[in-house]
Amino acid sequence: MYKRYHIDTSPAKLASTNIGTFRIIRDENCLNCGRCISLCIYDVHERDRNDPRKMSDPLSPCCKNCFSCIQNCPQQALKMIRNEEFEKLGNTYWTPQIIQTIWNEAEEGEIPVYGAGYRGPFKGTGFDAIWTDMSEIVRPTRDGIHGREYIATSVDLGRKLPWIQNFENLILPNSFEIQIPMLLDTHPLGLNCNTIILAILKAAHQLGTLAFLDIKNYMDELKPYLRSIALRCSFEELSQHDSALLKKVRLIEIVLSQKFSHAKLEQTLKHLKEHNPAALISLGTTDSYITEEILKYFHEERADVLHLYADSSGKSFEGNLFISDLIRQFHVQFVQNGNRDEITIIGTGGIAAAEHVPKIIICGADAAVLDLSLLVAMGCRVCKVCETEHCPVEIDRLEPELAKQRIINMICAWRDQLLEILSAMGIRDVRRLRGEVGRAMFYEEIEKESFEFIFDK
Amino acid sequence: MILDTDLEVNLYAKETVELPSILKKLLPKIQSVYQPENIQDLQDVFSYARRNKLSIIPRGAGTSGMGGITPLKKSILTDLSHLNRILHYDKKKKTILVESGLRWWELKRFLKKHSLDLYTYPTSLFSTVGGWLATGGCGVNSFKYGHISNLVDSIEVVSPNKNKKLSRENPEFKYFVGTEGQMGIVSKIELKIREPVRSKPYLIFFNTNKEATAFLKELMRSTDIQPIHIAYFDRNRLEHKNLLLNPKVSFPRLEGVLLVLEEFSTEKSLLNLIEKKRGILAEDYLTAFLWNERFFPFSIRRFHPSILGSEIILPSENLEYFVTSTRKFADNYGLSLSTEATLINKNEAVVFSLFPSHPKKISHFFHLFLSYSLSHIASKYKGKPYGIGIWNLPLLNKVFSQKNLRDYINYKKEEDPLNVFNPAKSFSGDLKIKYALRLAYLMSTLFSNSSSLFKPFSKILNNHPGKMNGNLSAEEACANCGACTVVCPAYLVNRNEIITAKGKLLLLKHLKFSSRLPKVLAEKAFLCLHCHLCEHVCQSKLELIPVWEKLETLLESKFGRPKEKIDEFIKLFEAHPEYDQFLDSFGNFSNNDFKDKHNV
Repeated sequence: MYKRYHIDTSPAKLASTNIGTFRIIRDENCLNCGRCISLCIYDVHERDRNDPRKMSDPLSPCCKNCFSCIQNCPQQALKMIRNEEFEKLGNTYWTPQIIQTIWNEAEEGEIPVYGAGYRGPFKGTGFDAIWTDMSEIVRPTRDGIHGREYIATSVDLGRKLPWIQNFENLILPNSFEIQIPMLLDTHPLGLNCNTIILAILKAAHQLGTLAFLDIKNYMDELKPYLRSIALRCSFEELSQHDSALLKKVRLIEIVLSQKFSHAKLEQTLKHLKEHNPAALISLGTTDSYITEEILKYFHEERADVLHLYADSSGKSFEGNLFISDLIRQFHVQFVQNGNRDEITIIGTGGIAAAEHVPKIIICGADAAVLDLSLLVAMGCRVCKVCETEHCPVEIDRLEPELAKQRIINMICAWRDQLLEILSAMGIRDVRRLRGEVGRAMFYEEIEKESFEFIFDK
Repeated sequence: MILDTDLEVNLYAKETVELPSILKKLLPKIQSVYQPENIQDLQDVFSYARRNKLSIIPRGAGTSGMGGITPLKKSILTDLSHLNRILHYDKKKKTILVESGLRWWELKRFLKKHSLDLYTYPTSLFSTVGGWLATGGCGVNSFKYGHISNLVDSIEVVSPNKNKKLSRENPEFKYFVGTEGQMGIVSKIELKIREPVRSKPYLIFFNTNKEATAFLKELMRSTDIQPIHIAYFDRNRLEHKNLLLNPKVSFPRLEGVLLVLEEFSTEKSLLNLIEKKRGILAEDYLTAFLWNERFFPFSIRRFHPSILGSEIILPSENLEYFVTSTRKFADNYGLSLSTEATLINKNEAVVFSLFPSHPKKISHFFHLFLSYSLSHIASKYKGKPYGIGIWNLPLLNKVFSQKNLRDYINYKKEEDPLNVFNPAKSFSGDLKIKYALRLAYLMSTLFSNSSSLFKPFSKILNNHPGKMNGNLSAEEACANCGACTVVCPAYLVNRNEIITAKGKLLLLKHLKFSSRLPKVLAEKAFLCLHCHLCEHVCQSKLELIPVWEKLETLLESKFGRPKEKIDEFIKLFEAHPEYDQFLDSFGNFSNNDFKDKHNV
């Protein structure tokens, strides 16, 4: 029976994420009149449970900055100040706003609402230099994003046939479908913590996508989720591990080190094909340049997925490129070479918000890999020290079920936002979005177009 | 609503100046407090009173302090403050028709919302419209606009089985002005109103009261300066106000004259006159403070458990001599006497002479006589009492001529043959009481003459000057002014003064002497939002919230916490139709500015 893909969310509250953008302060001249209770639709204000004649302290984290209580207080007894704790969250890329948005998404699985409107800058760097086209914005309002008109969010990993040469003897290439254009990484920030790994993997399993797992962290507990594991290993690790594991996973990634020997890679690929001919082979690289030799592996159907890594703020490790530019560069190159469908491009690093997924797809990726955002969904504050012993939110002690649900909630919210964007663009299938640069504007390009004639002479 | 517990009756019968408890016991009792909501309720209480041979004492807010609601026969105290609707207002004709139980504060608030204003209003802004008409009638702006009766277009009077409407021109009208409800109950009042006018207060200091009164005399003669309000504060009065101020910004030891102008074109001639009469213009903040204090005449009550004194209408030319001789008198008996006078026309002033006392001390008894003596001294200077009540019954002949008095007495007989309304007061004398008071008054005249017979007394009194060290407890310091009732959100819903600050303080006082208390009343004390509004308006500036907390723990230990009652109360007031409007109405009253002004 046909069943539409659906993500089940359920509220997953986490006390450590109760940090509001602002703090509502109730002054002493409060009358306990209760007007704020009736005005607030976010339940910031309540009467004291023990003594209903008095007001309890405002629950600032619930506040969406609508100012309704502040403007209508008969005594002007309420005020809003910036929350210092909030401003200490994250860094310049993972801004407090980004972190809080993820927290909210992870809590309810709903599309975030910014009460007082967007007051941020019109343009920024990285993903913020890309504007998506919403010219058909009327569409989602007609029927809702989960309405009659189904919008597909599944994407294929693996190669696609450019054309069918021989119907009688049809050999389908290796490929399979994942339900969302998002893969997960069980080692965000290089943390190797079993509870985190388990939570992320379970989430990937339930969502119908894959989660990258370093082979050295494999444990028997993960066995039920084998089909959702994308196994990541280096040459050395491959030779050390038993082949039973390799036989069951659907995607194996070889991380290419700075100076690897092609001979060794040849040998490894051959070894993998023998053990698990059905598995997709991914080549993971931090390079911003790809040699002809590597491309040859894809052409010869020995590798299927190109996995590009950037750091957590989206900067490539070499060449100082942003992940979206990096991917766009490869995408354009492959399209020009006529071999785009032979290679699946996925990118890790800097995917921090729902809109980053469609943006990276517009730049040419098939799917995005989420890493740090998953940790944030679990309550991470992106503070500088990252050791599980010193974690301010004790992230390793989080209940795995709760952590899983928060990840699922966040991804549901991201998928819903993806649907909104697709629907507003009039696109019914996320596969069609890949490389659709016509559906976006790039600040740099516009700037160049507008001012080139002045400055380039 | 009928309130019949002892405590509630005591609360409603309490006046600003209380009788000594010994005298109280001798007087007849008030059977209960009845709160009519409409005219029909009034008729009901009339017939009930007739059947049970009770008399009726009409009560507004109980702030007059003359003993107007002191029962001299067994009676029902009829609290009219629930008859407080604004019935109609005419913006064109500039009139407003209100029920007599409406408080001036509420009326002023209503008018402000409609960009209108009152001509005159009493200094006790928390008293009722009807109450002021039936007692004093002179207050702020009376200098220009005169007695309140000049601004009343018509009244409606209710007496058994009949209602009648009297316009100001009607010859019967005067029988309801200043007669303390002895002729019937005034139920509706139509008042003249006006558009708000900008005004500016000036405070001028003078070295001596001679200079100050000379300035006032000159001011009366001047034709171009037309103040709307003039008040004189002697140096002791200002000194008393200093208790409320930071010592760095206090009033100097000088006599003060406060006057208010609406016509700024005459400011220049005023300044000239001040210079000519060697007056010193006060700093703005002192002026503003004193002008604001007009609503809090008893603010020094905070430091003294009782304030005694007299209110007299005096020819303004005699003000100087009166002040001089009362000062001498006060020095003899060690009183810390202060005087404030409000000019009500070019010739007359209402003079308040006040001195602190302590009801627990023997000296208090003599102080009661001394307050009489003040009236006696005033009568030497052609002064007459401002109100009668019971205290001034011996001075009735100073207020009314023989013929006039007979007129009033005859009217009373005609209108109220059964003598139901506020009986045994000025127009239906009870000889026993009259003679007792007469005797007391005669005694006091001897005091005022400082004859050698009383020298020993004066010595004793000098040793007991009635001054207090340190602050009083809140329940002792409450001035009973009723400011807390109008701002109390709980009163809005419950309409029983026992749940306001004033009521709870009495409850606390009661608990000091007796542990017996009906549970219903104990539960009422919990119906409080801890909103601080009573603190904001309290003229004694009491810190009340800690007192409520103390009271609640005390009651909780005895009666338990009425959780359900509290929940019900919260629901009730949040759903009250006037609640929103009520909350918005005192934006200016309790914001920080107001607080700062008070703590200069």
